Amino acid sequence: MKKKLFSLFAFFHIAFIVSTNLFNTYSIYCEDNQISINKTSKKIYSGICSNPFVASYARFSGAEAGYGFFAPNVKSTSVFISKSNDTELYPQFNSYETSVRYSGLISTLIGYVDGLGKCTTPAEKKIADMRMHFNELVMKNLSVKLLNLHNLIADSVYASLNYVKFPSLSESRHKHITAQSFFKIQEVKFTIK
Amino acid sequence: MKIKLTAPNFAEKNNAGLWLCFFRISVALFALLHFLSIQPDFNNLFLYSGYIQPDIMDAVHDGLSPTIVDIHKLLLHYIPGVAYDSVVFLFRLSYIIVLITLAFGLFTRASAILALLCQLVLMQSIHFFQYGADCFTTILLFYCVIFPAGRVCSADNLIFKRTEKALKYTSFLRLLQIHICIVYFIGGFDKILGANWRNGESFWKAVTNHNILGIIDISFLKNTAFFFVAGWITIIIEMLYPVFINIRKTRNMWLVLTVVMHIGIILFLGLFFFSSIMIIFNLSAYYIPYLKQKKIKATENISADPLVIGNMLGA
Repeated sequence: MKKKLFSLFAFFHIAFIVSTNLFNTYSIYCEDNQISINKTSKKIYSGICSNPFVASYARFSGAEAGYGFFAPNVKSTSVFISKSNDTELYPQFNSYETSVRYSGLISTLIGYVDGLGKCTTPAEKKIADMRMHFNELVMKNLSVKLLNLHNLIADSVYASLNYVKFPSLSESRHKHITAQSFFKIQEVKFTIK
Repeated sequence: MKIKLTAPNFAEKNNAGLWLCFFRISVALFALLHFLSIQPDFNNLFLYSGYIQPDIMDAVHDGLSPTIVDIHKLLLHYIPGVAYDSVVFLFRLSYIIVLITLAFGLFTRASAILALLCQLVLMQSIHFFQYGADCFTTILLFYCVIFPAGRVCSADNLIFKRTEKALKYTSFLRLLQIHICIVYFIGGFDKILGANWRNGESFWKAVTNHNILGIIDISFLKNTAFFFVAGWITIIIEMLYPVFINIRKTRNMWLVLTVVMHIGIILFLGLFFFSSIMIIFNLSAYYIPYLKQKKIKATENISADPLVIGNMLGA
């Protein structure tokens, strides 16, 4: 009986993982190729995943995770730049693992607002606005923390989220470009009173 | 002085339980090391004095699992004035303790459940700082909860003098194996969809763009076919993993290729913990369960004799 129950559980667990990842792959593929997602499949998938029991199960079992790491294409490196009176404010880490996590944070923040310019409907624009405001809040918070870490007293701070554009393999081979360039995604200027 | 130890009593005569023992201990130790690695910056990640204030992060949390902010708010109803930092400290300490007890197999199931809950609460509290290694820690801790992980080589067996029933571990192993096959197949399938993995650009981008975290710079190979070949090798290793890892003759070769790929991720991308947990996942699913019977029997013969163990411990 126990074995049958476990087999039944295992079947649904695996089925959930497969369907989650297939839908993720399909969504990423559509986004990458600028194809609109099939509404029926989106409705069915969202319907299942928005069920509180299913969503909680997915969280607690780790079944919600997608496995398309560095796919379908590798994203550019993300950098947070914060300046105060021409002094660049760099984060200071005491462990290597924190620096890995910090890189993840900056990527998440950029991913939050990247591509929002394509929003067309009022509902999409509203969400885009909220995300921009949220990111500004996080950037201000981060800048103040960096000011404190550097023991600086400043009245004005500039902060920006950027992609670092490294030369592609073909650019590097044929055009001999080696210098990297920054591609600004969002910026904020604020004063501290 | 002779120490009398009871040898691990595997329920089956083969090494069926050994993978479960390896799995529990390695997952617990991995999670412990991973958590200890952020201790020097713990306050900057978790507290209000950190990089991002916890309530700001919490504002965009999906609410599917509790965060420390949620638990702190709840506790304030029952214990007025309880400090946020105290709640963080409680989870910080609890997570370390339950991971140690899980590694030793002490109150194994309870330890596994608490470890999973603490891991989720802690990592969801800093969800902006999460990455792949955290997802796999959740997955493997969940398997520690549902598998009979305390049945073999555990302190529970010694303390409660539990006689092991003839448990079949195959169904648990199969679940682990199917899961890892899906992980790699999807990873490879997603990569083949991207044109840049097929022409070597993505591999180039991964090792040059993310090289700030890596150890080795191989950009001098740009004029060779290295990046094109390496991109395709990555896709092939991942997509064909479910096939070749399940064929007896090619299993070890594919396992070596996969482990080498993860060592490459450490060297070029610097994702040490992500690669480590994937190697543990691989070894638990496809190496330890297939260790040759001879080796296991030899180990069992040595460990079954309490006198030998006593002498080995220098008593």
